[in-house]
Amino acid sequence: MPAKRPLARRIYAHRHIYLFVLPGLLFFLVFRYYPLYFLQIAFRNFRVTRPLSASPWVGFQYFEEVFTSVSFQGALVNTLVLNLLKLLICFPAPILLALMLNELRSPLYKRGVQTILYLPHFVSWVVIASILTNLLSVQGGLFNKIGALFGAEPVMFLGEKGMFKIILVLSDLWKESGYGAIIYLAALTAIDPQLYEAADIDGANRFQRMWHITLAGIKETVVVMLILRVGAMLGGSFDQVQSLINPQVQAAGDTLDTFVYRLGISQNRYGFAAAAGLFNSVVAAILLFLSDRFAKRLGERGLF
Amino acid sequence: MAKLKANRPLDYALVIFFALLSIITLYPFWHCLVGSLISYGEYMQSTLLLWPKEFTLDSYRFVFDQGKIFSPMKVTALITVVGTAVNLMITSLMAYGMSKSYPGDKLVSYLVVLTMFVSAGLIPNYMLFRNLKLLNNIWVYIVPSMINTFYLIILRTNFANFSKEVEEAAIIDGCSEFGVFFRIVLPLSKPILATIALFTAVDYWNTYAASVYYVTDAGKKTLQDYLYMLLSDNATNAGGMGASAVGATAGKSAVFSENIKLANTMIAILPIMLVYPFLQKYFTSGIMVGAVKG
Repeated sequence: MPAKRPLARRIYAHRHIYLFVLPGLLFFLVFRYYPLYFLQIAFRNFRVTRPLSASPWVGFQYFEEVFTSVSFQGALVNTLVLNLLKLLICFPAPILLALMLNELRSPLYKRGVQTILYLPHFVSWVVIASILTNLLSVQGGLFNKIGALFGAEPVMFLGEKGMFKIILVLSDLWKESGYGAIIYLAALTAIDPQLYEAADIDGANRFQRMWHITLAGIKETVVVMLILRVGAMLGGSFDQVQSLINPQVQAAGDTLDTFVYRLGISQNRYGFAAAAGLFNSVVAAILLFLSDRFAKRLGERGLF
Repeated sequence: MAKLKANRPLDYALVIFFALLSIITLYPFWHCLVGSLISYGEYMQSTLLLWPKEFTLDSYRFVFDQGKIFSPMKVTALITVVGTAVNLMITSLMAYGMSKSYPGDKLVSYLVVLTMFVSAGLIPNYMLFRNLKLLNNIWVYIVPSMINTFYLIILRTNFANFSKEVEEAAIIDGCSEFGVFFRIVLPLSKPILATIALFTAVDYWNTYAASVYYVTDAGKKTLQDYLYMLLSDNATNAGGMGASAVGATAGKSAVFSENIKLANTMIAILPIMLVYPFLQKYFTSGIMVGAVKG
């Protein structure tokens, strides 16, 4: 390493590098950091008719309103319940798929299946919602047509409060499980093939190999993904919920994302919605930070 | 794998399981395609839509004659092309800079990584865009999503592994830093740039939330948002109730609406289906694994 030269000289020597970084850095400052300045809207009584700086401070008034709001509590509970259901049902699915794909003997068949299973990930939630609404329709939807063959009464699936969360979870399972397997399949490729050969010599059967070698080989990846998933417990899928929700299931399906959007932008209650959003961001950031720390503590490389 | 102990029943079970799973995955898309190509009568009479008995383009004719889809299509095509180009340019410039060491490099890295934890949320963004005159402006789809942090980090790692010798040799030969970047680094990084370009293009094509949040002007809505508005156009989207109620009184075009919605949906996925064969080529390479973590 060269001896310490004056900072200005070192900066000048790297002037070209700054030109590379500058546009991107500007982007981060304006679109990722500058918005933090507008968080003050959660503490001010803002109206469209006056600038933010001329709006009076109201302290924690909006936060009090948010925490006593029944619809906010509903959205918070829905978000937690949905994330918990997705953790239980949607999290293990890609791991199982990866383990099973790994057992397929024909590489060609495996590749074909993978290509098909990854597809829904690339299609937008609105498209999925559009097809799903058609399939679940009370008037000529596939599910009701099949039900009718067995003499069932038509069901308005997307209008049933009790079914909405299940539909959200199952459609997420259908859309993302295949693509989610990629990361585990990538981890599988790092397993030493000699381990399998050794297991064969030792007379291990398929399940023993799967359990002691394959699953053991991806255990670390599973742990990291699990911790990150737990860190995202307050996260939402705005696209999914917004494109499937309707007035009949508003109470059962409203999540923090859709709540903030509806109150803040549709109803212009900026301060109130910003307070709800700020609460969400802070808790989400703490959860994510803690889970990342936890992953690193376990000797994993964490999120980054 | 050839030395595997034979366990025939298990192998057959796996093959059948994945065949069924593939059918469950593909059927909704096939349903949408066939449903858009048949008459309302045939649609109502059939259960599973396997093959059109009477093939008709009426639904598509209706969509294009009515012409409402052209504006969202144009907006979406424009942001996909321009957005991907801008995104790739800014991201690769920054990634290349970040792959070097320079005074302040740690600070820049921290600033970038911190944004993965900290986000101001919808309302502050909305206020910022309001001040920047980005509301009801199609640049709102492009500028605020100009850099995807995951792709930035993937590219930086890729550039950092780039051979220093080649770059130094080029500089000795009188090439500037920019010359090295444009003439050597970028051309040699084509596979990863192509991958990121395809994933980015898919993201732009699927732009939905930004259109819901920041755009009220119907002429500037994206295709996905347009599709959503069709979906919720009936008094309720709780399963086509509205369509049937209207259909009973208004006749053909309203009754027909299920097929028309499916035709609109097909138009919204068609470009994804067209690039998909190119996309899937990169899955096995593992390049994008980092991005899946998001």
